[in-house]
Amino acid sequence: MMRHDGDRVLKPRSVPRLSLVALYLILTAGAALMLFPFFWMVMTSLKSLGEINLSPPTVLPNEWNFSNYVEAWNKPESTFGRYFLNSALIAIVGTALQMFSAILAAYAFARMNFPLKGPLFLLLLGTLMIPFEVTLIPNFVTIRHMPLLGGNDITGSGGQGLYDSYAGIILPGIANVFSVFLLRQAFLQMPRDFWDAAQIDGASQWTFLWRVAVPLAMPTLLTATLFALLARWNAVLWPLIITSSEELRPVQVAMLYFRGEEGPNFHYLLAAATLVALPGILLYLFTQRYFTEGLSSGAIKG
Amino acid sequence: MQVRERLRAIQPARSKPIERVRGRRVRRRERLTPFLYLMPTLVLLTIFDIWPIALGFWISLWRWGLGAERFVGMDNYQRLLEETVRVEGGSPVIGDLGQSFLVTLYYVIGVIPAALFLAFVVANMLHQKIRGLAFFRAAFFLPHVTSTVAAGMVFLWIFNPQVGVANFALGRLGLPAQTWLQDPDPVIKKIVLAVGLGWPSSISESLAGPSLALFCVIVFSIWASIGFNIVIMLAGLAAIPREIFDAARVDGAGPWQMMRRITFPLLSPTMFFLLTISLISAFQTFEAVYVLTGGGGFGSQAGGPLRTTTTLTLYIFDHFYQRPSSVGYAAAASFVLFFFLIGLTALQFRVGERRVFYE
Repeated sequence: MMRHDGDRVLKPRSVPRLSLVALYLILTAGAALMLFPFFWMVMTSLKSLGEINLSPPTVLPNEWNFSNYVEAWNKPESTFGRYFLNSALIAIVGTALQMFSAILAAYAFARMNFPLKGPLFLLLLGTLMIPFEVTLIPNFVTIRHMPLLGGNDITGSGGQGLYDSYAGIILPGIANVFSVFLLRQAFLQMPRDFWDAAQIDGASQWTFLWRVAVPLAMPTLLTATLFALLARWNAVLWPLIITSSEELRPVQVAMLYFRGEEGPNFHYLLAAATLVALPGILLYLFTQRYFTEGLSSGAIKG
Repeated sequence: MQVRERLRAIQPARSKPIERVRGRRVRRRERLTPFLYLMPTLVLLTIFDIWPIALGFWISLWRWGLGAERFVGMDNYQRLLEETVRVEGGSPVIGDLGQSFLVTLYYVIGVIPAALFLAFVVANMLHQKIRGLAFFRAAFFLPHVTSTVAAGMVFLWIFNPQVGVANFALGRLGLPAQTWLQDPDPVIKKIVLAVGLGWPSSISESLAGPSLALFCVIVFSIWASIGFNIVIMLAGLAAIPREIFDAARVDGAGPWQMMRRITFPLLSPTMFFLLTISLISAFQTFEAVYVLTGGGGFGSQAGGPLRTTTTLTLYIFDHFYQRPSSVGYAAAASFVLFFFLIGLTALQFRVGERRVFYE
């Protein structure tokens, strides 16, 4: 099994000195270009309204208005606090359910024998081919017409089903084939002796899964969890269409409304944008290794 | 090993009597266990991924608003055709859907080759004996993990027509200021006019390449996706055994030869994977356009200016979410897009089979 840990990657060529300087110059210029929007976001968020409209623009703020953040946070009527809580709730609960179901399915595919195992796994992979545009509209209809929920009768009409509820936001994304696939790979790599030994000790599949298999697959589980958290935190389209009330709004959707309300007040907009982007960025920066490994093993059949 | 041997010794003696005691019911339960494990995933996938294909087709046969209104058969599909190309007064006119298709095509052509090429260059640079690999990789990857809405806000500000940095930079270069995301003029026409030529009136402006607004969206998407490509390519490069390079060097191969004869062919499965993923996701692009040029909500026009940034997904979204009783029509459009994507992927794999070199 290859390790894709970036810092220990094979480095095949040593480079002559002069071109090494050129290499660093180009890479630094590229990195600066990539990072400029982040720099500009933070700088603008700290300027006053007067200063952001100066031409030519100032690079660093003349006056560092950290209060912009407080004002942006308190601006929308029900405040960003609620939106952040919504996003956190949706991301954490959704991810937990996704991991739970993925662990079970991955374990079954990796370590159990049952009829139709091959075709079922192919079916699973096949769903990766279905683009979200196709499922978007039917899922909206399905959620709205969930029988016996949200005022609906047994035929699914009369009320609004799970429309405009946390469950409606979370439910469609729980079954995630990518997570199942990653975890299955991890479970497959586990030596068979572990299971044999556990069986002698009288462990059931269930005990073995949670006591042995999951702890051993922890790095992969972490990778899958991080991807899921990030995807949920950054999701826009589904929460936008499936909610209408403000109390349920996650930050990304709230940010869209905020832009509509604040128009030219880009110092507030970018202060809010910084806060909205920060959790994802921090999550990535502190767990880079898992991201890189997860992406690589997904691509290069790990 | 020891465990296994011990097991082999124990098992035959142990399993038989137990089975006889526990009987058939236990065995049936054991046969059921895998399906219990699979149930949450399978049930949810069926409801939210597989069933929607059938339901979507069903909806597409209706005039559908908040619920089914009237069964219209294939009418929605016929309307799709009409909205693609119409003949008016003897000459073909590109409809809204046709326009969206062109926009999506420009977007795909604008983003994918550039994002793959730039990533290839950077990945090869990073795949050397250099310091700070982790920093550079993170710098290039960061846009990919940043929320599109938040990042989009910055680009709105950078491309601001009055006080944006983009115009400031143009001014420094002695070039005229632009309205960027509000400019519906095609880029190619702009260039033709800028060098002093006229645009032939016989050629529709829709065919003159992406609008400047769409060009800005393309720049944003390249910025956002390049890091993902780099990380995947780095993994691909790391998987090439260094002995091959060493052997080539001993045989006197230069860097360009090694690139052409070793890196290209051995990286081709990775590039093929990236191309497949990029194509599928570029055809589904939504958020970037929604944030940068307006999704039709909040008083803006869907895919403004003059619909020159209305990608197919935005077109579907607009009809589904913002127009009365056209959910069925939107479903029909998404269905056609689905088959188009499947066809595209199948075609890609057929071409790829011949071109991609697997070890």
